[in-house]
Amino acid sequence: MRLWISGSAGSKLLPLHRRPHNRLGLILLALILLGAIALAASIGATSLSWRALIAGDATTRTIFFDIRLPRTILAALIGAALAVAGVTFQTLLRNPLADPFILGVSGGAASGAAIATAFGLARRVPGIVPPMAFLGACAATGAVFLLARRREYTDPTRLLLSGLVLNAFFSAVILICFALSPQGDLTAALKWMMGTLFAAQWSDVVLLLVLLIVTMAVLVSIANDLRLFAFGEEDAKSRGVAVERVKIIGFITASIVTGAAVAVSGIIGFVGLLVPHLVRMIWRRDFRDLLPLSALAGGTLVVLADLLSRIVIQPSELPIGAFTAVLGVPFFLMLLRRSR
Amino acid sequence: MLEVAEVSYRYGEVEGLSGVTVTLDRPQLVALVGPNGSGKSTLLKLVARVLAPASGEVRFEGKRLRDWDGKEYAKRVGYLPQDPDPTFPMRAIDVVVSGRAPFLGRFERESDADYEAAAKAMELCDALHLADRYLDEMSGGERKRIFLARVLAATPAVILLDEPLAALDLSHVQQFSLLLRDVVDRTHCTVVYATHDLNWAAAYCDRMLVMQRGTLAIDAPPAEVMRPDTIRELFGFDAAAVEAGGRSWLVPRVP
Amino acid sequence: MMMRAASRSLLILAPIDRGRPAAVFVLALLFIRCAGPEPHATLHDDVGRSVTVAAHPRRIVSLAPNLTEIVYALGCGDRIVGVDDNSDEPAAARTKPRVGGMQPSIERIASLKPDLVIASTQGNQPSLAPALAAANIPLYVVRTDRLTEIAPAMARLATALGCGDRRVPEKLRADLAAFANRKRAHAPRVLFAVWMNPLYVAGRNNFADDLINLCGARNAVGPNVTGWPLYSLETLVAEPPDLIIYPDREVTPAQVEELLRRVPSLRGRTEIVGVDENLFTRPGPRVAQAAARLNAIVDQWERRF
Repeated sequence: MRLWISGSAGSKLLPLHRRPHNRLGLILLALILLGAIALAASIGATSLSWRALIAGDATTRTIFFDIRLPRTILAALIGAALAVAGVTFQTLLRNPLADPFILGVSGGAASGAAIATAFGLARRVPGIVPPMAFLGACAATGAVFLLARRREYTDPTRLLLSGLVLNAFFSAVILICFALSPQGDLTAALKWMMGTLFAAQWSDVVLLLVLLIVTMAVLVSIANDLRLFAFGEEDAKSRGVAVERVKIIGFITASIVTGAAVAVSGIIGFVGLLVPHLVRMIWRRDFRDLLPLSALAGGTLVVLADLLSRIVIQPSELPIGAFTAVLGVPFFLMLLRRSR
Repeated sequence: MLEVAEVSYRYGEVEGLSGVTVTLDRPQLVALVGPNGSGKSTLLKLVARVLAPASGEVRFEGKRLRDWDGKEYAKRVGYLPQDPDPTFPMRAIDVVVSGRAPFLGRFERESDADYEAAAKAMELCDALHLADRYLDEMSGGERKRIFLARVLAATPAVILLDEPLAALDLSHVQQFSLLLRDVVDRTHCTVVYATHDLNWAAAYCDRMLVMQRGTLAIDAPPAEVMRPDTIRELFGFDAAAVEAGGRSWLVPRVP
Repeated sequence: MMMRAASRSLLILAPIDRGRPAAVFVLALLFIRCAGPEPHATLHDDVGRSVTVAAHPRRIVSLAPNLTEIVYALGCGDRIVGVDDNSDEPAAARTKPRVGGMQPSIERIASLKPDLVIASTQGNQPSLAPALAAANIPLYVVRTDRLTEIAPAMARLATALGCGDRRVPEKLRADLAAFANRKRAHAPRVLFAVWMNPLYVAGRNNFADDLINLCGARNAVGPNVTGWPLYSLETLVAEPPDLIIYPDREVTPAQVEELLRRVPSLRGRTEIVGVDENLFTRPGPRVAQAAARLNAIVDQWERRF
């Protein structure tokens, strides 16, 4: 095809029209996240003196380096993981209401945890809850995928429906576990489900960091293809996108990182649903840019939510899920009103 | 250049296409007409590599479609499905430049050359002034032009459009039909578009493919197709030929 | 009511006067029928509900393990015909028919034909009351949320059941008072932990908190914190408690080890002691034993000084 028109029509496009990487946005959010981490690490149930920290006081060092810092960083990683999963599912399913839990992952993880606590396993084998939760999440992911797959084609609508149905099924499993379990287990399991970063340690941080890096790498490698899903799967396919492969990779990656996040900290709502929308409303870009921006914004939200959950009724703590909503929803509403 | 040889396709239990053969070997504007369910969309999808034929072959430049690399093929054959509607709000320029996707490497972003091509495509469609606007701020006609520009941005040799004129008001129908003619004449690509509107198709196209229940009933220039007896046989309605402006128009006979 | 019916029948018989002996015989029959059911009383239970109960209920169903213990302690354990799944003390209670756990089966309860069901404010569902009312089974709710409520509740229950006397609750009151009157030179900071990871502890103004205060110790939780809150790890490191008490069935040694691994500074600094779960989570007649146990633990701790 000889296109053309000689001359440079491109110069008629003002420089603003062209939008390569959103470097400014990334740097801004990265700075905000670092600021949030610094803030959260310096406030807690006990007031620390910086002088004591520098001087090397053992108690201060323990509190800061063994308890507060890993917890703050883990909060950031969890927020990033959930936001990334959320934006991936929303793009993949072409559904603005998708969140990381919509495909049964939350139900599966909670069931894994409920089974672990209900039958006294959690008491006999400490540390069994996270792996069980992760297994539950993977089982749910697998089940949803198999249910939705029909003749080599994974139907997004069937994915959503299967996810809904499976979540309902898992709710029943959880209720049964609770009915059978002793009182104390019930409370603990319920509170786990509401989300807490209580026992965050460096091993959790390293695990989730590695997983998040791998996840981001995989998603970035399919980002150029995945963003074309916005125009429909057939359209993307006609443009040379290996639609089924991208769907499967995206779905599995996002589910695994969600499962890991839930296994570590329980179910923290709103992040996966709201953060992609917040970021989209401010920057109006496609998946390739939304991915890193959502990661940073999600991390910031959860760091701040965890900070609030730690200090509002110190030395006790409130479930973190309450604060992701308290922080996120007003911001979201404000943006909604301001938007066109 | 593009050969469709004895292609069949099934949608579950319903036969989508059977034994369709057609060859496109020179730049032309081709109208694909026929009643709903006659297989127009299916044929376009098979050529666009969205579907794979159950039997028969589609060849492009001598090579079977399945032997082509997806992106390489997409650079040569562009496709616009019915009712394109991106999930999230997008600006026109972002929509159009996304048509350059087949040219990008896995981690590449659009370069200046890509924006250049996008701009040219928009200019061709007289939509450059809409670059900054969001899709939901535009009229239906403007939106169609943006999506056409998106397909053109990849500078394909063959363009497949599935009912691009649907839901356009009359002035836009003519405008768009003229635009398609213009695109073929200026860029020497082949445009195949499915449409219900016989008169407008006949007015501008070089060739008409008439589909009927999954088979290709007629493959002929418009003059041959647009005859009352042919129309009655193919479409089942009575029409009279009317000469106006040097052209034949078919006007339905009202009983 | 039946008395009035009887008197009315008398009035009918008298004027007609068809033979004295027959009248006396019929009267006697009526009176015997009237004397059968015992006098009923309408009481108020611990939550203010009015309950109509026979003077000496013979078929009692207990829906909480502490209430089972209380009834046995009052001496009327033989009148119990059904208990909840968790009632395992005293040993005799284990042979009684079970009616379920948190959501007992109304059918099961009804099949035992009880004339009184006693339930606790803790752990029994609110839907219980209407369900039992629909089955015409009297329900008496006992409140033993706080330590000081136990003895009075026992006394009220003794009246309601027409069983036992004031001696048992009075002894309990006296035993507890004995602990309260002790003064300690060093009052340890104590946490009562019901789960280790995350660390859930007893807040203020509950049964466990009362026990801690009774034994002259202090609850390490902040002054205005009620319920069963999480306890911050940071505070655990910065201001380690002197004692952590945990119920030994809910929490296992493995979990304790896990906590110590997470906060190694607790080793050697904080004594972590397991106690009999039944003793420490049941507000019942054995609460004095719980206080004694806790007292002994605190005494042991004080000996360090």
